[in-house]
Amino acid sequence: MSENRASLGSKLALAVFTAIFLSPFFICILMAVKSKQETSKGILSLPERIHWENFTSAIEKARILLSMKNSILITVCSVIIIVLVAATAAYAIGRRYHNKFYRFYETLLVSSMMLPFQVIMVPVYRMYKELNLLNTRTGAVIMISGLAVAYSTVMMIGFVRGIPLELEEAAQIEGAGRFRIFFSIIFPLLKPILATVATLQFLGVWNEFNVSILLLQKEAIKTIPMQQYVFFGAYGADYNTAFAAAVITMIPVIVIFLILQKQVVAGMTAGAVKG
Amino acid sequence: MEQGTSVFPVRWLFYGKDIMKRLKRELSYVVFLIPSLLLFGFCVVYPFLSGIQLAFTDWDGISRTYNFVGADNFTKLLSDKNVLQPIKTTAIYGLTVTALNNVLALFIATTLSKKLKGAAFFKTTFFIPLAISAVLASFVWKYIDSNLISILLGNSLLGKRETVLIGIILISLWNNLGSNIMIYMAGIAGISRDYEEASMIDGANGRQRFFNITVPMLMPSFTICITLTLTASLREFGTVLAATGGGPAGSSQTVAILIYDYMFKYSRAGYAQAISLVFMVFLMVIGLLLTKFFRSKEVEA
Amino acid sequence: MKKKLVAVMMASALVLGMTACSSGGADKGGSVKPDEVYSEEGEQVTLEFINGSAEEQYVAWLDEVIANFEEKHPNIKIEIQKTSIDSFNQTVMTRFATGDVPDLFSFSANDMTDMVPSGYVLDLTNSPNMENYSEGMLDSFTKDGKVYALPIANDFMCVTYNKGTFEKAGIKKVPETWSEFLEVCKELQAKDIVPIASGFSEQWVVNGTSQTVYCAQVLANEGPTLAELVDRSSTFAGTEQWNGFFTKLQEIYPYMNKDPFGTDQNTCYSMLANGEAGMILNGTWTVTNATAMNPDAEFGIFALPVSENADDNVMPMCPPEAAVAVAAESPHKEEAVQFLEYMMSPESASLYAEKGAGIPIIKGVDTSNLKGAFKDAADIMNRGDVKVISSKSFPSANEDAFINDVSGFFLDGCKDPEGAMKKLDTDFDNLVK
Repeated sequence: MSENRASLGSKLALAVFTAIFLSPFFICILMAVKSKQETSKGILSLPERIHWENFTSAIEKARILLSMKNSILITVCSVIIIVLVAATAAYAIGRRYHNKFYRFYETLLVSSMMLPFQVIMVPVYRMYKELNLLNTRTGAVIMISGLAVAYSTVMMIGFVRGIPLELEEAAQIEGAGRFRIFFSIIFPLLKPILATVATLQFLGVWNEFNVSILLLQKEAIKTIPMQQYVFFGAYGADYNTAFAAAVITMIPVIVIFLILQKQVVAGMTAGAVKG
Repeated sequence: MEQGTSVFPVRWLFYGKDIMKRLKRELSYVVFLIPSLLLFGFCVVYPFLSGIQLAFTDWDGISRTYNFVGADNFTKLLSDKNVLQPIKTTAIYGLTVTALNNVLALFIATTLSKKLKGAAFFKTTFFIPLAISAVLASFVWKYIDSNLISILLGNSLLGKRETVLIGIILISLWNNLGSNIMIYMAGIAGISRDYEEASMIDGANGRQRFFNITVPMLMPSFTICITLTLTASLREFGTVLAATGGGPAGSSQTVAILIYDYMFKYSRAGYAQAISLVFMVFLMVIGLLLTKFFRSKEVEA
Repeated sequence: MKKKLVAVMMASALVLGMTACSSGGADKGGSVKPDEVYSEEGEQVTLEFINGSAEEQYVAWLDEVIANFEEKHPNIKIEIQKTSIDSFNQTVMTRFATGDVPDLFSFSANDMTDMVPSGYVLDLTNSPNMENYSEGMLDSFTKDGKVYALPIANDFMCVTYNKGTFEKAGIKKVPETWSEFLEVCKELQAKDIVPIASGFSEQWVVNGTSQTVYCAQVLANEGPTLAELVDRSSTFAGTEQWNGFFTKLQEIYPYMNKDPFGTDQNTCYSMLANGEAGMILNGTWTVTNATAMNPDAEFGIFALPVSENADDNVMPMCPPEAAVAVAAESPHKEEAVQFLEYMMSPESASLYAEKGAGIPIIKGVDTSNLKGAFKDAADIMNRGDVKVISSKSFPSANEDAFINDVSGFFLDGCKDPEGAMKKLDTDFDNLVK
């Protein structure tokens, strides 16, 4: 099967891309451990020792622990809600695919994915003001979940349709109600796609910017991306601390991503085949 | 199963029971749709509908009152020269990013799908930037651009009007290539080996195999990737805002940034909303056309 | 059994998720929301202050002022909300539009046009602090005879230079005419020092440098006021002073760092602080920021000389643009005003000068212990070589158009001043609503 080996040219190109892709991480870490003076010597200059104080200063000034807490709470809550809401809706739509009302709802969901955030930015803001949901974690969770369910639901519909009806019919004959059927049969079988959706949404929500910059403006409620935005703007004078903050916020996400990577690929594989 | 003698049409009872059963069954599915309807309705449908109303006002974004101005905002939009450049910029950006992203992703996915030592390591390299937020990606690359790239190329990319879009495109590619690579790899993995082997027996070389088998069979993946990449990049906001904020001299001001500027800098929220609506219609048309196009090309296995 | 377990786990996860989220909602950010506490005499009150100024010295000064105030008034606590320069507008706007107003907030002269008519800002005219300000200093915050905000300091648009760098380059005295200024640039350049460091990748820097030049070249030189340009009773093209503005930009552009639009201002502060650059043309906040980069460097200020006659040299002095205001709908107006009055007291102002945060314009402050660049500014003021200008900034939309067109002019290599002025006129015409 020598035909299936990558050509030398491809391998070289790959190597170049890899180097480019890794460079920002390298620079981030390098900047995070240098001092101001060492930085002014040049971007690639090496430090004499590791300046841990950049990290301590970053944690303090950027209130990283606080925004980390906010990010974790909002992300976990959102992902749980998204998965459940999307799975239930996907089940209904998948099983009733011949019904034009359900198909209409699916089209609605797909169309909403093209919506630019700006269209609902102002109305959402005013709506949240009336309901006193501004600067609350609950409010952020609801809006972020609401905007993410469309994509997740659509991803799952194909999967649901791929689950044989016989399994359900067998349970129905035994007298199981719809809920039993869903939670005991369908849900477990959706595991691969659920894992994919959960992982993708975890990343998406963690790095969420549009909703957060609109609804989470008070210092104490800011999430990591917000804090990064403010920090780089306000403390731009101190790039080393800013990069140290960036490194700290990058590490947990990367770690989680590496762990969950397998799920995502597995789900996408299955999903791409089912289409 | 009629019993004939009674006046009351027992048949109806059975129909009735049937209808009840059907209703119950339908209801059991509807129940599953309720959480989605509530959440989606609250977060998307309601704001959207009330947003339409705002486009017909002169709200400045900060006062508590505003006036209705009919279709004024839309007529103004037609003659607003400030909108032309951002439209051009957005179009160039969106088309270029989509093209580059998909071509590169396909190339990398194909290469990584072949027998390659250390494929796992390479895969990880391309996937990790997905985990980085758009804002952070922009800040980091901005720094690299003004301190490293400017030394290598003599000028920073983001600092000149001619190259600023290239700079932003590079940031976006770094941040987003991974997901398309993932989808294409999944698609490639799903192509049955039989086709490959059959064509090899027929004497087709690598390139012929690629264009006659791989590409057609990847149509479903193309549908997803190209449509999503295009509509997402046309809407791109965080990356541009953090990288240049629309500068220098407005050369990287996309429609999304324009709307943001009108809303928060120039105090013209009603007008901004009108622009958003027109923008949205435009995006939907593109999205639907693209999907239709690719679906029609999908090959039945 | 296993399936039941999964169902139970999912259900509990859902419940757990909801509780965690709702507790997050009730705990609105971990601070005591002002509305939840009523302000009776002696009751614990927390004031929220949205601060848009991030300079080290300012923040350090503000922290100390707050600490001093809280000591004197143990029942009042002040909480600062930081925002970045870009999102400050958005934050303030959205807070006010929704009625969730802060108690105190950074207020700029620009805000007079939209926030005051909407009734958002408290009228401070009856405050005793009024006496601490000289004639005209509160003009930019006054409308219909009512004062809406109190400033602590004034910024001058001037040239900030590194004294050590000038010495090393053999420049003995500060230029007093335009030709002398260009000479200084040449000398610096000959010694491989960047004469003028400009971080134009940030829009406000383009604005700052432009203001430094046009305040002296146009506004202090009998040119039309900015208001006249906005309402189109005057034009850029055909105005001698504006022609001079563009010509001067043309002349100094070759002396700026390479790729100014790819350079950010912090790099410029760094360059100025460690001797790589000689001057920055922007406001006096340049001093505080550059000092933060290198506390050992010595900086000075001089007015940008725009004419050939040394006697005509004046430092344009505009009423302050940055101040602090109180929200009219704040539930703790009294306490907020109390704090504001303390913040702008001579005592606090002296502390401001001490910390090197700027030049306070509050009367009763001993300015003799101002150091370095601020001393230079104070000297110029005391000599009377200043000219008061009513306003140095355009309204938002015009300002953006102005910045864009000047940026375009720079990016084109400053080749076409006529074209630039024509474009400005067209753009300003378009902006008349």
